[in-house]
Amino acid sequence: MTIPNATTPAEIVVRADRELEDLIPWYLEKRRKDVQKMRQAMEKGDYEGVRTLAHNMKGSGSGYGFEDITQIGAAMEKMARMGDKDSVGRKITELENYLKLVTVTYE
Amino acid sequence: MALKEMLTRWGALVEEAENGENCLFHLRHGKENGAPFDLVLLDGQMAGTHEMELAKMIEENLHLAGQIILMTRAGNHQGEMAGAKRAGIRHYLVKPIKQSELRKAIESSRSRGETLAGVQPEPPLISSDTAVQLHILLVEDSEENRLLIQNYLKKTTHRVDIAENGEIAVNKFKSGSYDLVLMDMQMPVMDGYTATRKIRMWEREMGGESRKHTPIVALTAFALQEEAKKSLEAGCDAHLTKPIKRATLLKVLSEYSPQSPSLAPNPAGGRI
Repeated sequence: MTIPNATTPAEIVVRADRELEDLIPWYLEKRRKDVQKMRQAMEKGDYEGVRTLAHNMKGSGSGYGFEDITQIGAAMEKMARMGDKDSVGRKITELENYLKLVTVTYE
Repeated sequence: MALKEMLTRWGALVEEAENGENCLFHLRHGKENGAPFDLVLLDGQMAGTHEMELAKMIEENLHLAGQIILMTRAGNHQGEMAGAKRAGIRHYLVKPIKQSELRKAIESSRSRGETLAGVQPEPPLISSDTAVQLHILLVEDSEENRLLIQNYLKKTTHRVDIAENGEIAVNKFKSGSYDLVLMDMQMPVMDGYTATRKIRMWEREMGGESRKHTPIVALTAFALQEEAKKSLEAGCDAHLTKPIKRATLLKVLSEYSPQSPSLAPNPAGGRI
């Protein structure tokens, strides 16, 4: 029997600027592709590749309304710089889960 | 007056396409190169192209929702309205096109009209003292941040040129005439610190008369004091921490804008 994890929210609602409505689906899709790119980079031990993607997330996330993406990117950039494989892996999973749960309302 | 000349006078950067294929090529190329188009003026009688199919492709592939103006001939438009709406066209003009009507349609489409007619524009995002056109060189390797900043500025009168790294920026700066540079500091090929130093050196070599000191605003993903200091030492005038927020950017631009409230807001200050 699987016990649902009570700490996992069903969805994460982000309120974003209506002016960015055309860009946000594209922005989130690029982050989904980042998850794949980061996993591929980690398989090759390419920490610099992960760090560059994380740096871009850090510098753009909250501009689009996604403060969590900026925070994940900032943490992941530090971990990649230190070559901390396990922590980077956990952050990639955190990003992947966030992207599954996030829904956007525009105002 | 020719359409292109009219739009250029209003401050728009205009590209022309003679058919649907060429139109999609320009739109994709612009998007991929960080210079997306703000508006499409679509001729309803373009040879070899079904305008509704083309509009649908523009809408589906390039997310230019509501940013297409269809130009159609008299007597042809009534039956087309339903199809036009389905194809993502919310604005149309009947030929021959009058200057005032074109201007009104651009203003409506740029304020995200929801219906085919009678669109009420949203309140402007800029105040009267920022209704000044700055020619800005945006130096940024991240497509996400380029599009974000271009989005912030699309309803302003400012014009933006793009450079994807410091080397391109230095070349563009030397051959162009800019009122302000927004300079990312961490970039491949040539970083913003080096590019800023090269720009300042070139300004000095030019004697400081023909080339005045152009403000350079550093954009960094660091909130650290030493990064701000380092960018100022390289020759930047101010420093903003990424991610850049709309209000922060507009405030900085207004600080560097000459106070010319008499200049009329420009509805076409964008790429068409």
